[in-house]
This record gives sequence, structure tokens and C-alpha cells, in this order.
Amino acid sequence: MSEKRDETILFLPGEIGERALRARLVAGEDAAYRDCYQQYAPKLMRLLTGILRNKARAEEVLQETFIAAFRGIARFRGEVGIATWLARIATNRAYNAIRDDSCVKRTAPPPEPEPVSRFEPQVEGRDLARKVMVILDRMDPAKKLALLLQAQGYTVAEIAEISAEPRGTILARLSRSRAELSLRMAEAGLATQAIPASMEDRS
Amino acid sequence: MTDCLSLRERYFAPGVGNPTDPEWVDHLQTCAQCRLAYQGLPEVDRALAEVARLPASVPAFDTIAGAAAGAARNQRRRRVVRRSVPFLYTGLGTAALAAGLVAAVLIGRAHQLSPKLLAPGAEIQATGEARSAILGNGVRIRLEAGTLKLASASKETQSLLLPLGRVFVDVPKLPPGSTVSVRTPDAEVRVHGTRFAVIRTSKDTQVQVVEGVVEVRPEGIGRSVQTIRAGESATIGSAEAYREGLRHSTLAALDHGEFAAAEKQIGQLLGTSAEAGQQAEAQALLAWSLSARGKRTEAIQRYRQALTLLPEGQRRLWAENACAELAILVEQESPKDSALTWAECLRRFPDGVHAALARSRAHFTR
Repeated sequence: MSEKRDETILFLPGEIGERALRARLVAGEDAAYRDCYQQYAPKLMRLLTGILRNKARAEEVLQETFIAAFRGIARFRGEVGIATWLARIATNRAYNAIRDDSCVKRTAPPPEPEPVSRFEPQVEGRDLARKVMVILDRMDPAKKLALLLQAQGYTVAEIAEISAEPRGTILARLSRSRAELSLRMAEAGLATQAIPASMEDRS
Repeated sequence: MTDCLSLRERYFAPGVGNPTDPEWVDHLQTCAQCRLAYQGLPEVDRALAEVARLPASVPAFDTIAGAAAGAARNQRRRRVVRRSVPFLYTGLGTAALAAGLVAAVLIGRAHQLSPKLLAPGAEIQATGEARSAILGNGVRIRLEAGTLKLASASKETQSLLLPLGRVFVDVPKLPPGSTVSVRTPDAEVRVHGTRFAVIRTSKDTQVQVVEGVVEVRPEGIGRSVQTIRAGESATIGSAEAYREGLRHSTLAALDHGEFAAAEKQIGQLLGTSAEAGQQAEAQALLAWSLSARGKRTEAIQRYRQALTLLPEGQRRLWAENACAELAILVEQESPKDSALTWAECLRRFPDGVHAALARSRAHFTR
């Protein structure tokens, strides 16, 4: 097994690695499907958990996403990166899932807080992240998606591809969303900057 | 308020930095909301970075392994069928290739189509059965027969060497400036995104294009570049035959005193990747032509070059003639050096046709 792995190219950074992985997927190389999953699933899982706010549902959608992607690999022409392509499938399926849930009036369980170790060094950061997620939940879904994708490192062009909207629209939306999030964080006492005195007399 | 929205759209985008636009600076002085939102942006970026770091436990791949294996199987099947079809239209040779692919699947050898990485300098051989491989930039190759070597590989260029055999290459769309090439002893086939086959026999190189366009640069600077489109094929005569043709026409031109034409053809001959002995002979012919036109100094240089290029131990009649002519030219141009030149002729060709002359001249000019 290890011998076989030595002969395949994996995780080469950037376009070259992506093209090679795509070529292997298109060729039907078994190992490529596992590699693809291992490479892209964590990032997608974070995105889906952010959108759906339900771990079990996110896992379901993640699996559906990869199965759909693998079955449709022949239609993927490589115009966008694999991560972008997968994110587009994942977000579409996540919103379908949300729509289905609301149609059957299924009450979504409240967001599951993950157990936090008392000795974890990142506790403060995670606490901030969870509070921000609560704020994002209250924002417009399109704005929330744009911010979640930005958080995961997608560029404006990639977010435009994923959302199937023009880049200009996405850029404007991101700017507005960032402004709104900043104000909401300030209101929630999450901003470290002191609120200027002039804030008191809002006109 | 409209001002706020339009200005925020401009200055709250990710990566905008710290704008110094006076309009924006003035606005921040007067609008507390925008100032508050703007001051909080670093905190927004920090918070989003923390969101991206939230732990995500991913279900094991095994949960979808069955579906993935099914998709991979379908993909292999589809790939084989898709490849087979265009080949039916490109002649008997390629039809045999398609049949080979289908047969390979029928006898349950589909797993052998799994591509392997071809590292720079690595070589694969297809003896009896085809071999598949993949290059770092996603180019897929299938060697039907013979030997293939990845001669060089960089981010921009991947160069394959096919001394003899038949290879099918599937090149995805490449970034601008990137090329993939297959070199045979007769030609270089350069591509930017296509599917094609290269067949190198002992006589020539054949190129068959299935998709896209390829550029074929026959070996030798005097041969024109050919562009071959989908559905077309071309046969490029062997570089050896091309060189032999040039040699004959050069000799004929020299016989007729057409020195300019001869020198042009010698230039073309030297522009091919000829072996050292052939290059040496071409240099000697050029020297002969220059000498005939009275350009003795240049002729001497070329003769010396020819004799340097000729591997030690090779005794060729043209080389013996060249050595003697060099010595005679040196006698005329620089008599004091001629003894050494004759001595060199004797050393290299002690039993040559000019040995007696060399002995007497070496003694006479000493």
C-alpha cells in the first residue's frame, strides 16, 4: 500500500496539485477519491456546521456532497478549483436541507456546544468564535454565507462562483456584511476598541 | 445614509487596508456609526479567523467508501469507452489501440490503467502491455509500446522523450506559457491542451490528434513547423533521412561550385541534433567550401573544429583528407606551424592514405 502511495502525486500545492488530483479522479483511481475527501472534507465540514448549526445534519450533507461530487466528476471541467466546486455543491445542498427542514416543520435542535477542555490554550479564541457564530445566525443568510466563506479563506472570485453571483455583488455584500458584523460585535461587547463618545449621540 | 452605504461598500471590503481618501477620512470624522464599524474591522477579521479554526470532526471516509468506489468504477468504464470512440476514426493503428483498451477491461485488467507518477528522469517501458502514468501537471500518458522518459519537468515545461514506440497523451488545459512536449529523434510535438498520439517507428514519427491542436517541430532548423488539428495526422520523416538528404545535396552543390547553397545546407545540417561524427563531417565540408572561396583563416578554424569533433580512434576518409588539407593550408598561412599539423595527421591516421605525404612534409618543414 505504501509503495503504491509513493507513486501517486498528492497535495502538491496550488493549481498543479489540483489538476493532478482532478485527472486522477476522472481516471477513476480509487485512492484519489479518498485523498480528495481527506483533503477537502475538514474545510467543508466547518462551512456546513456554520451554515446548518447542527453537527449531525452537517455530516449528512457533507457525505451527500462528496457522493454527488464523485458521481458528477465527469462533468467537472476544472474551470474552478476543486475546493470551490465542492463548496458550491455543499452550500446548495445545505440550503436545500434547511428548506426541507422548514417545510416539514422539523424543529432544528439548538446548536450543539462542543465540549471545551479546561486546559485548552485556544479557549478564548473559540469562545469568541462561538459568540460570533450566534451573531452570524441572526444576520441575513446571504451575508452570513459570504462571511463564512471569507472566514474559510475563499477569495471574492471564489465566493462569487460558489454563490453563482457577480463578483461586484459579492464584494459589495461582503463590505456591508463586515460593517454590520462589526457594529453587532460592538453592541455585544465583543469589540476591544473603546466606543467613542460620539456614539452616545446617534443621530 | 446613502453616503454611508456607498462608502462602506468601498472601504469595508476585505484587504482594502487603511485608505487615506480625504472623502472617507472626512466622513469618519462626522459619522460615529461608520467610525465605530471601521474601528472594529480588525476585530471582525480576528473573529472570522477564529471561526475558521473551530474544530470540525469529519466522519471517516469509510462511510462513503462504497459510493466512492462505485463512482471510481463508473469513471474508469466511461473513460475507456470515451477514449475508444475517436480512435475508430483515426486509422487502423489507433483502432487497434482502442480495441486494446476495451480488451484490457474485458480481461479484468482495468486496475492497471491506474496512473502512476512519472518523476523527472524516470523511464517507463511497455513490453507486451500498455503502461499508464501521470505527470505533475495533470498530464496523463498511456504508453502502448516502447520506452518513454520524462526528460525534464518544471512548472512551465514537461518534456517527454520517445526514442521508439507509441504513446497517447491527454493534456488538460494548461496555464499560459506552459507546454508539454514529446520529443522523438525526428520531431518535437508541442501542445497546450489536447489529446494526441505519437508513434515513433524506425523510419519516421507519426502524430495523430484526437482533440485540440498540436504543433510539430521537425528536427532540424530548415524544416517547417506543422500545425495539426483534431482528426488530422502527420508523418514526419526521420531526422536521419533528412540529414542524409542534406548531406547529398551539399556534396552535389560543392561539386557544381555552388558554395553559397552548400554553406546554407551545411548550416541546416548543423542545426539538427546530429551525432559528433556527422557534425564533424559537416564542419569539414564547410571548411572545404570556405577554402575554395579563398577564406583560408576561417577554413583552418573549421577544419580544426572538425578534427576536434571527430572522436579519437575514428578513421574516416573525409577526416584524413580534411587533416591533410588543413596541414597544406597551415603551410601556406603559417609555415612554422605546419610541421606540428602534419605530425598530428600522422598521429591520428598513421596508416592513412596521406601518411607518406605527411611523413615527408613533417620532415621537410621541420
